[in-house]
Amino acid sequence: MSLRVKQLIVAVLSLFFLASLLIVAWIEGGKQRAGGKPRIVVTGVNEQCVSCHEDKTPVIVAQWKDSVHAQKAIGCYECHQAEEGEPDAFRHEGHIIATIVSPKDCARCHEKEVAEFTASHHARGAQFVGSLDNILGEIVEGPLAAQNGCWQCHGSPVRFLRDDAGNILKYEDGRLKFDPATWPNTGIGRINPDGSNGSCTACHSRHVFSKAMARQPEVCGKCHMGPDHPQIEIYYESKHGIAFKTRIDEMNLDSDSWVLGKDYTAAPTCATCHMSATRNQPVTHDVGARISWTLRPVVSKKLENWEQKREAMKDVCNHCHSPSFVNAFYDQFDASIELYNKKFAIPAQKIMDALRKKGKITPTPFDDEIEWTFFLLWHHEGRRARMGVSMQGPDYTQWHGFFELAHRFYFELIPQAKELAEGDEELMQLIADIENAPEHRWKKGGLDKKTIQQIQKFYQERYGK
Amino acid sequence: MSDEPIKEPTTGDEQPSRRGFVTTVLMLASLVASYGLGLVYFLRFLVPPIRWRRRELFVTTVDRVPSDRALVWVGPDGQEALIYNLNGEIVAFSNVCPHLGCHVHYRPSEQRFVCPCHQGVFDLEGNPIAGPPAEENTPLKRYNIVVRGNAVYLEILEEA
Amino acid sequence: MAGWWARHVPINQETVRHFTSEPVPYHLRRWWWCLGGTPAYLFVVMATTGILMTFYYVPRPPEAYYSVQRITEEVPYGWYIRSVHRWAANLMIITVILHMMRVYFTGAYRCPREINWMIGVGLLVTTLLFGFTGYSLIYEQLSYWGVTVASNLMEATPLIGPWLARLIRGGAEVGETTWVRLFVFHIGVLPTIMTILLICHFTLIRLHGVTPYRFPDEPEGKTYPFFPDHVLTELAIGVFLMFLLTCLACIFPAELGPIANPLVTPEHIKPEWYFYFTFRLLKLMGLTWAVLTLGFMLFITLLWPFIDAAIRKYWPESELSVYIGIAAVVLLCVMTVWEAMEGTVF
Repeated sequence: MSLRVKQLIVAVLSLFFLASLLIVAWIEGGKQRAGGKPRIVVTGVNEQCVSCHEDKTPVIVAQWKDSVHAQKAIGCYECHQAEEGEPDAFRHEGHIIATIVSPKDCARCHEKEVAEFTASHHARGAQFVGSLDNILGEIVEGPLAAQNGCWQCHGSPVRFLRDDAGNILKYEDGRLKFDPATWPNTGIGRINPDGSNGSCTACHSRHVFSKAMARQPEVCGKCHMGPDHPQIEIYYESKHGIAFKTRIDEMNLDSDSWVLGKDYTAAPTCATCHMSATRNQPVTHDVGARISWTLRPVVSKKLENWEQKREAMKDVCNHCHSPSFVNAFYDQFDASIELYNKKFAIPAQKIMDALRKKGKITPTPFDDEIEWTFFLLWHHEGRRARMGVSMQGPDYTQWHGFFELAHRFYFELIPQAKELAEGDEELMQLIADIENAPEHRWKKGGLDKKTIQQIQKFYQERYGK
Repeated sequence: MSDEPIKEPTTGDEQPSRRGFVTTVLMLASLVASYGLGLVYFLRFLVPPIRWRRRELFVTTVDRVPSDRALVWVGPDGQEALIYNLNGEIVAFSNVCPHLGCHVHYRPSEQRFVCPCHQGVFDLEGNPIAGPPAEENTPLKRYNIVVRGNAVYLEILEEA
Repeated sequence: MAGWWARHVPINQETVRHFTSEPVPYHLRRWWWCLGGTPAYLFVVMATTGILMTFYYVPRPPEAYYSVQRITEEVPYGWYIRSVHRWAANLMIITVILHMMRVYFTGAYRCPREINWMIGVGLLVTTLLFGFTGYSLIYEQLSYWGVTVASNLMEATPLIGPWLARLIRGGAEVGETTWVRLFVFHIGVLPTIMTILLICHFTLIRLHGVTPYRFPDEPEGKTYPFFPDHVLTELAIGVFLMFLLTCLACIFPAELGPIANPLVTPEHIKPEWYFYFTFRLLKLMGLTWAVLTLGFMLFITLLWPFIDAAIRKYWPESELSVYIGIAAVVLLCVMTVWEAMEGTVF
């Protein structure tokens, strides 16, 4: 091959190369055309609101800027906008807005979440007005105890101050005057002026609406704590809570997707078991969807469709525990609730009903000492025992639970009942029947000799006495 | 370049001929053209593309956009826009005259925008119809309007 | 003009003439005898496109991924440059292997060229490391899990394993610092090593001269000049490669997988095809044995010229080296195809 041929080959190949480069330019041009304008970073901002509120309420604006809402161009107006004629709408700097962003407003984007929430027990949180608890707060303790206590968790019906003609009172700039007895309020079952129930901000605190915060046990612990429903204390006593506290950095709490076993494996939080997605079921905003027993009333009952709900919960358990482990736990749990029901709750309820029927106590609640005794028995100690078992907090099950429950039953309720029943044969017989039942007989008849000997032997061996 | 037997061995001191010169030039030219174009691409690569930041600024609500006059809206960076309802469509134009930067005004009697500095006149669609802007055929800068629900937003593109 | 240059750059004209007109043996007219120059040319292509990409690349997860995304989607001609870089890498590995096979089966590694064979093996290893660190930098799922598997593999090396794993990870676990390291290896350490080895490789070729070989139809002892004849051949190969790379880049542009997720191992994970052999070995033998086997094979390859010499000393007529070579090639192919087939649904 001569040099000239070689040169020609190089020339031809170069032209091929040149042609291919032109195709590159053509593809590049197509990319630019397809994209239309070059890449766009969206930063939607409600500049008008922000320009004032950055000065007046800088933290609200700053928190909103930290939120995913801000990144996705969801600003003040998208959530606070209102229609003229809505009960809480008012004109503010030229725009019709509302102070309260209700689940109805959130549903404009988060439809599924609001539908699930509205169907849940949470959404009915404010419907406790007729309950004993509310009478305690409103009357026995005083209305402010109810407003600042009960209603802050349960939610209040939000009302406005009105003149005699029923018109809402307004400030000079047009803002409406809320009834301070009902607002501020972020209770979970709040009854909003637009008629919707609930408050998303109870868990998704405004204005950052942090996913991580909603997954944090403390967000539930604002209400689920204390002597009558110490769920957060029980949780932190349990292995689950210990694991969470230890491995909080590995919880991936900020992640968009938060599927147990996929996005995190370190520990379960409240949300994990009651709400969040597993590999087999999606996240739900109905907190009762996986609960099989109600541990709230005097006598615990299985809920409607409890088998299905239990299967949903077992699916969560099975991500970390074997089925035999989970089934054995549920056997323990069911048996403990039955123990509470049969040994303490049902007899105590029977006694109370009989006393009331016979006129030994008045129909007014909380004016007789035995009513307080009974209330403490089921509403405090009884729940502690039941909830302790349900979430594996041993100390809440026993010392804070069954132990105090037993003391209340044997040394307060029964003696007080006997005192009230004196002279009434029928009542005395009822109480005697209860005391003679096999589970209570130990007290009247005493322990058998063998058991007592065993106890003495144990203490002798242990303490040498 | 091939497996065929070599017939005519070439040597380095081949006599330069005219045809030889042409092929050499042809080869060099195509080499320079192809590698040169590649080099141009490489240089283009080094210049980063502009990244646009799109801001949507809340203006007002739909029911408050007038059709008989223009709403003067002042943005956070001082930019001003004339916003009005033009036969059912909400439009927004910058009030800066493309000629020398004076602010145009709406004249209701004529339904025109007029620049007081050199008597530039624009119609309601921002087209220049008289004065220096008409001579240069420079319309008013138009903003994109986004309506979401009842809210009216003005779109601003700026380099991020 | 010529005088001005001669005064300012005093190079002896004779030296230049001698240097550029080094006689090239006739058999090099066959293009497959020029495979060695191809990887060197591709190395230059990779260096150019690679340097260009460092203008945008950020060696820190997860920005690493987003910077690659930006190169691929936003920057003008970014997709082209990245695709050329990627295809050049694949071609480089192919041509290095072909070049080695040619050298092996023609016995060009034999005395006195043993050292150059060893340098060549070094170049092969460097090329593979280039490939590995290269696709790791993208920080897609394949990158993350590739690095994880590879660093675990290194950890299984006896004695120096834990030290080696820490060296590549930059800590106890694969994390942020790992990517800084991979980056420095890819654009600093490996290019330096490769350049030094290439210089040694070429210098030794020039010192020894091209390995003598004569095809039956060639005139005895006939040579042709390096310039312009051989240069033109290399030039043609170079332009052809550019054309090929550009076509490949247009038809099969480099893609971008999902971003690395340290919590989720993809169900089907495979390294680049040139590590299929290693991957299959790993599946067959388990960590430690795979590492030992690989080390042993590398050791044999490295010292092959001496082993071959020993064999030929005892059996001068033996064709053993050819059979061993064929066996090695078959083994490589079988393992690679085997791995490639797995997971494929027919």
